[in-house]
Amino acid sequence: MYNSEILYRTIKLSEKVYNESMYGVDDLYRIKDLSHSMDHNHWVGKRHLAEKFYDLYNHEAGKLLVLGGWYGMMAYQLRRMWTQSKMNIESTDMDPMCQEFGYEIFGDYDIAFSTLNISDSFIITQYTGIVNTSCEHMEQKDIRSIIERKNKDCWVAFQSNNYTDLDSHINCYPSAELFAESLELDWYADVDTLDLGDFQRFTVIGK
Amino acid sequence: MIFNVITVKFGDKYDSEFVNRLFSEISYYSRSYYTNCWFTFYCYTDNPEGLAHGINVIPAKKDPTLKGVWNKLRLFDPSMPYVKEGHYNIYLDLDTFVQDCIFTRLAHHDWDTLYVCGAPWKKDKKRYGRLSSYDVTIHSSVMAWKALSHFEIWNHFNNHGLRDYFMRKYSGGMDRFLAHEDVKMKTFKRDFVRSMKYEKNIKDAAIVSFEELDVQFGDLIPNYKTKRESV
Repeated sequence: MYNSEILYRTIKLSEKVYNESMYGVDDLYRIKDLSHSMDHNHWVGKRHLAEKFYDLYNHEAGKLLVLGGWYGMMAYQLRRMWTQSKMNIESTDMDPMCQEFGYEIFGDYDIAFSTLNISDSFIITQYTGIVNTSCEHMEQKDIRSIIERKNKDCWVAFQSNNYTDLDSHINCYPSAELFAESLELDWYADVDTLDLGDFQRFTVIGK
Repeated sequence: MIFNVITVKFGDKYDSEFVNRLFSEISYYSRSYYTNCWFTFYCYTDNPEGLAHGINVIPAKKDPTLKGVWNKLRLFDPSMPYVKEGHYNIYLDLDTFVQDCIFTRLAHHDWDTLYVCGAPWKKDKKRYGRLSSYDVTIHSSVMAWKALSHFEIWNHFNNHGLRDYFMRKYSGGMDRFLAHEDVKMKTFKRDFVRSMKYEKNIKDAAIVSFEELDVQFGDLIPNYKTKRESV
């Protein structure tokens, strides 16, 4: 399941962060954050969504937007499924460092990285699919706003979880069904639960 | 000079009795300030139920929604109702008690700088002459600042795309955020706030902090037992 090249790049990037901390910006926590982004749970949860979404989407072309994409693992898992460049994949995050580090780790996977806050205005109607595996970190009104502003035919593939112990998890749900209900989609293609041991990850795909 | 005394109560760790007790203690030890309305008492909370008359409720703000201790950082949000010219803020954690007039004790205070509490007992954990330990040497049980200042703290936390990262990086509290993000601060004189856990002589302190202690309401020493004779 793991890609050793990506893990190697993450280790080398951690070394770069450490070097920067010696002579420039001291931010050693980035090393831990990078390591967390490569956790088993993230490989499993994001691959799970990518595989399901690929089957349901059933086209090779389009434009996918990843919201809250962190250092790019979700976009990478999508690219694994849509291997051709006619599927445009864009990974965004509000943290500006994710853009720089995303290119460092996944630079040769034809993924466009950018910095974007979900509450900022952007042209959402250009996308054929919106993927957000960080719903637990985002305000519900911002998530709803994305759904209301997207094209009617644009897919959404969203994940949240029931892991409430973290301060940054402000939008968790006790079940996949309640998460799905909160999104108020016109049509649901799939609602499921992935048991990851300590917590459950909920996936909702639809339009 | 108008003082704003501010408390923050989110979740169910502390109930309204803790807020009411602080309001009573401050009103009692600062009777002239209370009588002349020279201070306003605020509670920023997600549940105002049970708060005493005279306490001004600041309802929980959203966007962003914050959990637990991170709501304290919102005190530096310029949209807070106490942000007014000529006002001076004093924040107290709910696990503190007051045993003197905090306003007269701050008579010659430097209000241009953010003041927090020193935690010198942690100093020996500092390594390599730089701030590498998360066990920082300040704590924010009590803070004081001019009401129309220090908005940059909230701005830095909230408006540069790093809010989520900060909450992961500094999990457990805003003290680490303040110390490691280079917020300019000074610490109160030692006899203004003392630690119940680490300092033996607490009687000369205006405020006693139960920082790092799991405090129940009954643990807070009744004010009459430690009342200073000068009051």
